[in-house]
Amino acid sequence: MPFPNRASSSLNSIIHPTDLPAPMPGRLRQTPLKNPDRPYLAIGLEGSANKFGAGVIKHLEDGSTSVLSNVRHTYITPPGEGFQPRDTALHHREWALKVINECLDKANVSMHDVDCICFTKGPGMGAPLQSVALIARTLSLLFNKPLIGVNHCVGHIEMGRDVTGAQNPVVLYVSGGNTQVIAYSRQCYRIFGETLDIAVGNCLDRFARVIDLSNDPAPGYNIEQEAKKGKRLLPLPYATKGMDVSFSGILTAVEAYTFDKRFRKDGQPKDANDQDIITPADLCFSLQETIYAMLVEITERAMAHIGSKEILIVGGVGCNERLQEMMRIMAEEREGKVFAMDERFCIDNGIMIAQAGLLSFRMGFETPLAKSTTTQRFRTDEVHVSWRA
Amino acid sequence: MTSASLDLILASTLISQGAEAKVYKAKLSSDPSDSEILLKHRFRKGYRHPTLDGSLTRARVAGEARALLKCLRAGVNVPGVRMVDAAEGVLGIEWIHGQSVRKLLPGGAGEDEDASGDSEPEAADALREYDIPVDALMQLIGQEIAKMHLADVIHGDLTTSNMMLRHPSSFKSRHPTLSTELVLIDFGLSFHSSLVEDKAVDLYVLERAFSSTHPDSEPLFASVLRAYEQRMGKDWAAIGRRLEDVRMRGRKRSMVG
Amino acid sequence: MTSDTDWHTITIRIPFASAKHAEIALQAIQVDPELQPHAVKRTLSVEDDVLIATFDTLTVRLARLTVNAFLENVDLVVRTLQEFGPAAAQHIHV
Repeated sequence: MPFPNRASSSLNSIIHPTDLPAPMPGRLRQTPLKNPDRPYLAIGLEGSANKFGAGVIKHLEDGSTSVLSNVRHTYITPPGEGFQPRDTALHHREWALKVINECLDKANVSMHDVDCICFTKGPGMGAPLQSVALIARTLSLLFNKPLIGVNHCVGHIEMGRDVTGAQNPVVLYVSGGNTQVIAYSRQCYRIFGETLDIAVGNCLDRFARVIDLSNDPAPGYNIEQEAKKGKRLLPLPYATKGMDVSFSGILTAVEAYTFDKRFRKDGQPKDANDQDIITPADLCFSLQETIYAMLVEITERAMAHIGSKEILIVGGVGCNERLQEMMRIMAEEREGKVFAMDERFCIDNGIMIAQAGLLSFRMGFETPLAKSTTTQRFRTDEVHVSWRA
Repeated sequence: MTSASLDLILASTLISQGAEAKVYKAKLSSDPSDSEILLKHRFRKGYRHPTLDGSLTRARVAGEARALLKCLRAGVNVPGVRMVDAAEGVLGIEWIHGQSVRKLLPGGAGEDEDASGDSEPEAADALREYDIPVDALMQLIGQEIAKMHLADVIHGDLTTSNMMLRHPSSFKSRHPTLSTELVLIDFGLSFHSSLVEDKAVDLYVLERAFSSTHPDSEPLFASVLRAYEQRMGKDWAAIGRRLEDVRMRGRKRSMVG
Repeated sequence: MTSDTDWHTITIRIPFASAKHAEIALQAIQVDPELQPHAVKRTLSVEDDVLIATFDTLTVRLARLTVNAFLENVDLVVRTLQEFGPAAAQHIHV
């Protein structure tokens, strides 16, 4: 087997506070967010897709933040299968309480100590979101703590800014459900470009299913490993439109190569004369080179458009090293800088929900119980980013 | 450097580096009466696989030149084509004296949103220099895009940065009341299509560029659309309906986190 | 056999460890509306430490689906209360 065989379901505790970089340097602009008069604590619960995560974050009087714990459990489906909403919700219902307990233990805090309970309001899959919100509500009522509903995408951005220290970056948000190029302007994360059809992660996941790659630890990770062995760049459609991209045509085209008479599913030539062949590794390589070039291109266009030199990559696909490398080369050509994160923060997690939730809580925002429903559709630009100038 | 195009670039002045290309001001000959041209060099993108980069660059330079010629034949205001070297990624076009529309509208002047506070009077001043009210400018935009779409050219990257007003001093009008004209530039992502979908997406891209660059610009874009509608005539109904669909798709897109 | 005008009624009584827990369950579950309000009517109330849920549905199938989803939610709330209830009770200061 060419793929690393990781345990398919292990509770992985993600971070030690000492791993964190120095706190964000002071911002030049006047921020509406005052330094807290005492330390604040928040717990964040995330379960909008196939990961359930819980984390505790602390905001200190000097304006710095500290991740006390960040625990996640991933629902992994057999090769060839995607995760269905109902089964994903069942996974979260089964694992949530264990993960929450572990996250509190690791942080060495009790639920009594937190200032608010943050949960993902959306966007995401309906049933998994609802299950997590139900737990958040129960805990809120039990411990008499305010609830904060958080936009998942804003969670990614705020955690990315905090971890990397990026000040005002163009954000490339790439995951199984989203593909957006975002930049902050006037208390709103505006979407400059996005996918016109499926998300980039969805394109990768679906292609992994076509060639029967394992979903463990993640289909995109396994495509990345396969791609390293690919040699042949096959022509695929290259679909950028302004700052938007489209992936469905590429998925169809790369799938079509698996019906090509040159395609060898096992990656091996039939005999010594079998030279002109296409392997699964070649397809992974071609797919990655094409779609990441498109993503880097629209990010560069957004940078040029708004005159920014910083790039922040967030979302599950953001831990792809080839994407990060390509982005770095582009940034160097423009004398810019890339901020990227590893899987602890790129992949969906609870701490990002705690971070974004605590920022809005400190600005006086609260989600009343009656409004603590979840929503599958919740655009990044609908959120009032009250904590930024 | 070996090719004539690259020698020409070496002798030129770099004006700007966009996302796609480096832009130079050049002269094709040493004759002082010879007017300046704009050289657009699609330099190699190191992040892209060389094969992919090469084929994209060739296709884009050739496509851009083709689209410009098509527009010129159809009477759309675009820069004239002066030289093409697709293999080297170099395109030479007419130098337009003027200002980008983005800088002439509120919110578009500053590189940083900090500057927006004082950009509005600046933008208004600049517009006075061109002697054109904002609404008339919006109409010019709508008209030029309609003319382009009637010629089945899709721009592919319509933003207010990719439109210029010709400076009155360099504009020889056949129309006594016009002091300037709107010129569509940067056809680097353009393509030929007669599909309603492509025209609708072209408009949607511009709509999004308006709202992300120029705050509270909904009435401005509405005025662009009205002029577009008028010029498109019977073709408008289908495009307008499709634009609605494209907007809906845009809203529905963020389904899964 | 059912016709469209006949409503099916199911009442479920679920005892909790305390009246407070029953009330928490009611409030937490109440927030999410029924997905087909024209075909499913839900009434939740608490008597002492018992959560009482009444469902009126248009079809047997809807009754089954609705009650099933409700019980899954109750199960999740009960497990959450069991897991964190003791900790919550420990510090009832002021």
